[in-house]
Formats: sequence, structure tokens, C-alpha cells
Amino acid sequence: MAKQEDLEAAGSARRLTRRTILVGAGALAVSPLLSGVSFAQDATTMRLSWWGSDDRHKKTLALIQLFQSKHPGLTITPEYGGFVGYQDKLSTQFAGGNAPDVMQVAEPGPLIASGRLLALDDYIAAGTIDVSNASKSVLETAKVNGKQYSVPWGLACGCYFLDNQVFEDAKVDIPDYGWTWDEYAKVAKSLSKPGFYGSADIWAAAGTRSLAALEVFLRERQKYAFTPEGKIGFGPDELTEWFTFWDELRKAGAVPPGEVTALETGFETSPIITGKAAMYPINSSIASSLQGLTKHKLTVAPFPTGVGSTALKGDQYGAFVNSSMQIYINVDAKDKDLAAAFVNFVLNDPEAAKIQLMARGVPASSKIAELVTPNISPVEQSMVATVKYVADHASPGFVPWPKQGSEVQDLMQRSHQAVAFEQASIADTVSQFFDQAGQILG
Amino acid sequence: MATNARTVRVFPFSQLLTHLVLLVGAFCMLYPLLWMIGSSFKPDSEIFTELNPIPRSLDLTNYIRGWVLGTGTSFTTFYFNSFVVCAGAIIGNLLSCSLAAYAFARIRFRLRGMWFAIMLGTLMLPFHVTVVPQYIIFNSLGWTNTFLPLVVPKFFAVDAFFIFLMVQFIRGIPIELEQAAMVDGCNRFQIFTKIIMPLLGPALVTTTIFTFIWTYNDFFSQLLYLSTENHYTVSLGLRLFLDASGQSAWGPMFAMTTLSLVPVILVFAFFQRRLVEGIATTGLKG
Repeated sequence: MAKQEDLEAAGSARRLTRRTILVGAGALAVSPLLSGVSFAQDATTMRLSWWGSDDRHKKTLALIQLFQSKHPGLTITPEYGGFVGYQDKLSTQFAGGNAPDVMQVAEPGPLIASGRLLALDDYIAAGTIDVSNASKSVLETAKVNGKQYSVPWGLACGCYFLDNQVFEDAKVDIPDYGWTWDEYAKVAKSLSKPGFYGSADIWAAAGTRSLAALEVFLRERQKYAFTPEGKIGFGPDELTEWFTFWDELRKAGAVPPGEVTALETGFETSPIITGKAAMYPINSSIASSLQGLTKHKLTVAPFPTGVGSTALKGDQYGAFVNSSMQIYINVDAKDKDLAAAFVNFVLNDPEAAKIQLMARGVPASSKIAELVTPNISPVEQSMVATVKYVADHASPGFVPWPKQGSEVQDLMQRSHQAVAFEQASIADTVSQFFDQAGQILG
Repeated sequence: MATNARTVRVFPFSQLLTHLVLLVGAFCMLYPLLWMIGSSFKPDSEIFTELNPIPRSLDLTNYIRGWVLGTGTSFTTFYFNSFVVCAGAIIGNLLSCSLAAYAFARIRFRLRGMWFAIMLGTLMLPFHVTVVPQYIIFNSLGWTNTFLPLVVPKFFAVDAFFIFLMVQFIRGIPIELEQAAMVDGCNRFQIFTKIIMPLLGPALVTTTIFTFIWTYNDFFSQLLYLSTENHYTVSLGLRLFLDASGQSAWGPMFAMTTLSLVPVILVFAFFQRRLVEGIATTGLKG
């Protein structure tokens, strides 16, 4: 046994030396790598990061080529992938001090709060980033604590997608952009037949349209989902009216019962795709993706209005435009002026717009949007027209959602679900909603 | 066995019924996979509109469209990268984990029990706890956007699961073999290479297969360290097709996902018996 111990001692001593040699060799192997990196950083480089699909990647790479051709000596490193994991990667990169210079951000809140993103106000004031053709109200929605951290890299609005085939077969006219809730209800009823519904419901098991859609109605009465102090911005009367409007349509067979709506796991399995409904409320930015899933021609219509309507009546236009995608600059960007120039380039350059088309939604500059309209698909043209109509008619005013906004959104979804499945009366659901929302918002 | 045979003869229907139930169960479990394979032959406009998962024709358009992306990069690159990372990880795990396992199983050193416990404790450490510090280290080494952060750690025996597997296996090998080798004048390293490694076969096969499957399927660490498309692996490449806003390509995505299953299924089919062998023999000795 003594011999074995000796052997072990000898073995470990030998391994120690071997390890030392390995470490030394490793350090040697790494050193050229390190110097290589520092050399690369001396040239003018900029890192641009985004998520998207193949189509957006292709267009953005072409965009980078164009910007590089205008700035000789500059190399932009593109970093892109899918949406899943994007924010996790970005947060880790920021924590590791290795974040990109210019980027899309999925959840900007925490990054702005910790001072990682650059406020663009100085660049806007100096005209380096020209926002004169961009919608003022949308710019306003992107402000945090009065500062502009991003500019919209595309616009969208809540809208209805209409299945033209069904309208034609039923000999019902496609509604005007200015349609009222009364007209909406009438169209929905006239398109319905057993097993088929005129319109998808306003709530869905997946997605976020429940509270956002209610806000369209609230804005007709100069109210918002939340108050500036972060409390609920509406009363039981409005919520009762809202639930009742949809409940009547559900009972009339114009929107599907709870068990049909609950099958929707995303827009891929929405009733307009599975052939169960002719109208579908969602954000306009999915136009191309949605059209790709069906052979029926789709058109886009704005949300109905309560002006001149008996149902969901209001005295101003409720629908509004939001940004579908924003562009941000890292506060530690190597060349901030260049980064700002890139932001201005994607926002205002006509050649850039012809490359991007609708890859990130409707261009934020109205002039640019008009310029590219001939180059895009029919469903995208109707998306552009809808966003323009809504932008022209939207009432000013905006209240940002508080931190707990998404929790209230979930609560609204559950409440609407309870009514749709007839688990609780509208009166009980409404009072429960306000109790629970009060708890969430403190 | 005899009773079993008699039961079968007396109740031939019960076995038929068992098989029927198993077949129905297997079909239900496999249905999502069959749906995906069926969808990979359909145009986008039919994938969600038609309930029948069987495509009308074996149209290969999605496979051709999906293989080369609009950005010019193709799945040839992604597969090559995936296999490079997998090969590096497998070699690293085989070399380093077997060495570490041998040390824990056979060499007596100070606080061995404690080190072993700490090593096992790393199994319980959630991945997310170590992500940021690791990223900072690899970033300061200038290793981001290279395969090094995915491969180099494997050469330092970081996969405690495999070490544990091999420790159990080595403990089952009679110590007399090593003592005999020692008498013949072998030193520690020679014992390891000439006696232990050849006998470790089944455990090494298990390690190879699991390392391959886990590395091939890994998404987050590859996403984190690989930033440009020419470094992407298959699991990152599959994420390039879909995004709600903009234009999505479901058909090509399903087609490429179907193809991406082939290596895993092949590896599993060829090594299945040895895999079971490896686990069974290590499990015998506690």
C-alpha cells in the first residue's frame, strides 16, 4: 500500500507540472487572439443588433451596405437572430460591457432605468436626427421621464383584418375607414351563419389585445386605461358597457363563443385563418405574415369609431398609432455621432426606405411612407392607408402604462374570458376586476 | 417466462389489446411530429387553413427555399458549425471527465469527499446564475463570437454528470487489475491509459451520445456567444425564419426543423443499445 501512496504522490506531482505547462501553452495560444481583437477595434466599426425573420435580415443587410457605401472606411457588424432569447442575450451583453452600438430592444424599461441607453434629445435638437416628418404623438409615446430614448423604426395601429372572399360571397360591402361600432355590429351579424362568425372576439387567450382594445373605446371619452398616477383610468360603467356590447354580439352569434376563441394560440390559429370568422382585430404589423397564411385576399380597416354611434358612443376618435419597432443607441457607443447618423438614415433616407419597405412596419416619416407605397404588396398598401387614416384622425393625448400594466392586461383577459364562458355575470366580473386591479396597482 | 407464454396462449386478445393501446398512445405522442413533417411539404397558405396533416404532394419547395437563406448563408454552414462544436465538446468531455473521474474514484487526496460533493453540487447550480460572470470572463478574453466559450470549458471537466457516471463505472472495475499493472511497473498514467480507458468503453459511449445530443440541441449558450450568421449553428439557424411583424416563412422553417432532427435520430438509432448498456452497467454498483 505504501508503494501505491508513493505512486500517487509521484503521479500528482507529475500532473501538476503537466498542468502548469498546459496553462502556459494556453496563455500563449490566447495572446495572439487578444491582440487581434484590439487591432480590429482601431478601425471604424459599429455593431448593429436586431431580431426578425429572414426577410428582415435580408433587407437590413442591404441597408447596412448602403450606409457603408456612404461612409467609406466604416464596417458595420450585423448581429441578428430570432426573437426568442434576444432580450436575454442583450441584457447579458450589457452586463458584460459588450453590448452593440445601435439596436432594437424588446424590453427597454430596465435598460433605460439603469442608464444603458442614450437619450437622443440633443441629436434631435441639433437636427442630426430629423423627426420633422415623424408623427409627434408617436414620438411622445416613446418618451420616458420626458426624454426621447428611441425613434420609431416603423408604425402600426390596432386594426381589423377583413377576409374579402367572405364579404364578396355574402355580398356585403367592405366598410369605409370611418365605420362606427353600430356598423361593425351590423356587418358582423350579416356575415354570420351557423358555425361561422362575422368577427373574431375582442379578447383572446393569447396575445395582448384585451386591454389595448378597450383603450380605443376609452379614448373616445378622453379616458385611458390608466391615470398618470398609475391607477385604473376608467370606471365600472365603461367596463360594463364594453362587456355588454361584446356579450350581445356573442349571444347573436356574430362573434364566437368562449370555447372557439380559446382555441386561438396566436394569429396562426386565429379564426380568420382557420376559416371560422371574417374579421379579426389585432395589430397591423402582422399584415404580411397573416396574408401569407391564407389564400383569401385580406384588407386592413381601422378600429370602428364611437363618434355618431349608439353603441360604445364617444365624442372623439379613439384609435391611435403606435410604433411597431424602435431603434436605440448604446450610451457607451464607440462613435455616438455616427450612431445618430445611422438612426437618421433609417428614418429619413429615401433610398434606405426603398430597401426596407415594410420590414419593420409603416415608415415613421409620412413622406417616406408615401414614396414606397407603389413598391409593396396589396395587403401592405392597405396597412399603410389604414395607419395614415388613423394617424390623421387620432386625438392627441397619451398616458403610459405603469410597470404593472401587463398584470392588469392579464386580469382583463381573465375577466373577459369569465364573461365569454358565462362563468360569472357581467356585474360580478366588473366589481371583481376593480377589486383585483386595485390590489395589483397598490 | 413459462407462465408468460401460457398467458399469451390462453388470452391472445389481451396482448393484441395491449399493442393496440400502445399504438394509439404512440400515435398521439407522435402526432405533433407527423404534423410538422406533413406541414413541411405544404405551402404557407395551407399549413394552418387545412386540418388534414397529409400534404397533397411531396413538394420539396420548402426544403430548397429553406436550405439557403435570403441573407446568402446556407444550412451547410450551420450544420458544419454544429458538428464542429459537438466534436470539440465530445473530445473535451471524453478526455477531461475520464481523468477527473479516475482521480475521484481511485486516488486518495486531501478532502476528496468534500471536492466530490462540491463537484456534484455544481449539478444543482442553475445555468442562469453563472451566465453573466462567465460572459464577462469570455468577453475579456476576446472569445465572444468564436466557438471557444462553447468548447474550451469542456476540456476542464465541467460536466459533473459525466464525471459521476464514470466514477460509478470505475468503482465497478476490480482494483486487482490495477494492482497487477502496478506490479508490472505501470505508473498512474499508464494504468489510466492501458487499463481504465479500454474498460471504460460503455461509459465513454454514453458520454459521447449525451454530449452530442445536448450540445446539438443547446440554444441559449450558443445564442449568447455566437453573434454573426457565419458562426451560427443549426439551433440558431432555425430561429431565423419567423417573426410576427414582417414576413414569416413557416414552410421552410418546418422543413429545416424536420431535417435538423435527422442527426439526433441517427445517433440515437445507431447507439441505442450501447446507450442502455452504459447506463445499466454503471447503475449496478453503488
